Amino acid sequence: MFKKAQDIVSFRSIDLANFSLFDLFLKIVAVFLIFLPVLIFIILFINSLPAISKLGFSVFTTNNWDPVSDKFGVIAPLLVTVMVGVISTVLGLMISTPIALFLSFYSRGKISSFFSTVIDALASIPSVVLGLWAIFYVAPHIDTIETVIKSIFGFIPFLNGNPSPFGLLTTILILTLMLVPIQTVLIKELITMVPRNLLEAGFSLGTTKYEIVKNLILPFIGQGIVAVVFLSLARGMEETMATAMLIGNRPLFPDSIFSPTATLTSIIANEFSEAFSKTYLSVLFELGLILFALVFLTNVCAKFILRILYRRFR
Amino acid sequence: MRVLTDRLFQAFTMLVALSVSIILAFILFQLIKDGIGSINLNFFIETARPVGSNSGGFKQAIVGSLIIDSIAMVIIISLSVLGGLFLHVYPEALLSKILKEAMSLLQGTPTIVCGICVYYMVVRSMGHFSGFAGSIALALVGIPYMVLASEQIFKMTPSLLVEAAYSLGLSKTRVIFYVILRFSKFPLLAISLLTLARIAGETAPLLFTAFGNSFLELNPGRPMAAMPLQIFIYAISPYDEWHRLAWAGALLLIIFVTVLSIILGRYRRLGE
Repeated sequence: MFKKAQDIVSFRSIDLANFSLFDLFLKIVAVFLIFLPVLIFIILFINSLPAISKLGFSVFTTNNWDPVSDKFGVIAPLLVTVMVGVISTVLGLMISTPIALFLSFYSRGKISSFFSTVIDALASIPSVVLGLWAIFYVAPHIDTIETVIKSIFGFIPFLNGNPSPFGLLTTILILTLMLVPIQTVLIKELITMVPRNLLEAGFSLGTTKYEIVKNLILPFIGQGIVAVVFLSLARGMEETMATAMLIGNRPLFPDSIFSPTATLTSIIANEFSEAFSKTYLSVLFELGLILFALVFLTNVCAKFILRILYRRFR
Repeated sequence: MRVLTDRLFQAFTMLVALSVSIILAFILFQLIKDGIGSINLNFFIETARPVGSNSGGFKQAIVGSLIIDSIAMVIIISLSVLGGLFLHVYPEALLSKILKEAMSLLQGTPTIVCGICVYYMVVRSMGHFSGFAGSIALALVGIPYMVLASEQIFKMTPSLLVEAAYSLGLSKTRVIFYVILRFSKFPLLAISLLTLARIAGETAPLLFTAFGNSFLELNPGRPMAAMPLQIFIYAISPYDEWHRLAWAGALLLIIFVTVLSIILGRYRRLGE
């Protein structure tokens, strides 16, 4: 314990010959940088205190968003945030796993680098541009898709609702598109962790690539995929602009997967500049705090799993 | 049969990859189609005009973005190179382990949360929105990537050079300045440009800090327009004219961001 404390401030006592101002400066900057996320947490917490003390746990029990009479139901946007994250992560995995396999097994040379560039380009598109594109080229056509889904799967309760251009489904589709490049890169990274000699042994037995993928790669990276799921879940939940532009902003629980609703991020983005009372503003900070905690927990889960994996294979 | 399954699977994976490329091509095509028509001289030399005048441009947003992003980059580069140096000089210290965790925590922080925190810290105390507050919010977003990436850059310095420098009796500070920093000049430039590409498209941190402005504003102490912000405002407006401007702005932004990040693709993975 004593030694640890020394590590934190290892100024090597007052040895003036070895003392360097630059060194001290580096340490000050490091401490300052560490202080940043703490500062963010403190600011969020201080600002959400009025809401916490005034509304208490009632924010988790009401399903109503009525700023005029101080009724704020946090549970609906919270659930919607998680739902949007989970669904688009799962949809994204269905797309990104084949792409990652294609990039690492079924293509080489120019084709591989072409598709890597495509993935990079997709990752670099700012979310506001993707949102703009979705407003004008996805949302007008989403009605048709939704009517088709409704006519086929209408018997499932949550898939039966009135089609609307802006709503959960639109958001989920665009978020999926945003998550695919991130997931692809991560899964490709995971595949490189599979020991080379296992692969070579497999191929020398005359198995096809499909059998290798099915029996060796997928079981091997299974746990890693869980980490990827958590990482992209965090990305999906914190995404702001595309969500705010597409989800429809109706802070109530959605009736169906088509209906407009709101996530934590979209509520903050759309209502922060219009918050007219102190409690209202404070509730928005509380939403930020909840979001911060949610994303933090998800990231910690991902880190934890990855750390276990690295310990096993390195 | 087995070979057939393999071929089918190959075709399937290729189909998925192709379809994603087609979607990307679609996005780029529509961006160019809708954006190219509005990119003309007026787009660069006029500020926003009211609807109906059938003119107007993005000048205030382009200038605003330049100012906000350059201030943000100055903050980011100065802080994160020092942070990266600290991580490199004391790799085993407890402080640098905490620093790494803190940076990945900051990396995971939702950008809108950074925005509202800076709103409370800077905008509230100044009394009004300002481009400077926007720069700070963007810096909060960019710092973690740059710190982690610059540490990895410093690691690439050949230990031979560093040891040679130490054996000549140079102090730690001089080794840092004359060897490590000099050696990693170009990679540092590359990752700074990548960070710039990353923050240039960020909208959420600017919403409640820079706030936007219809007029040309050169003083970062006042509310300022920025490219992504202006695109957002125009995109959710009901006017066709503004939509066209939004497309043109998006085209300009994406040319900048995507070209930058594809050229520097080699350094992309650092800091993630």
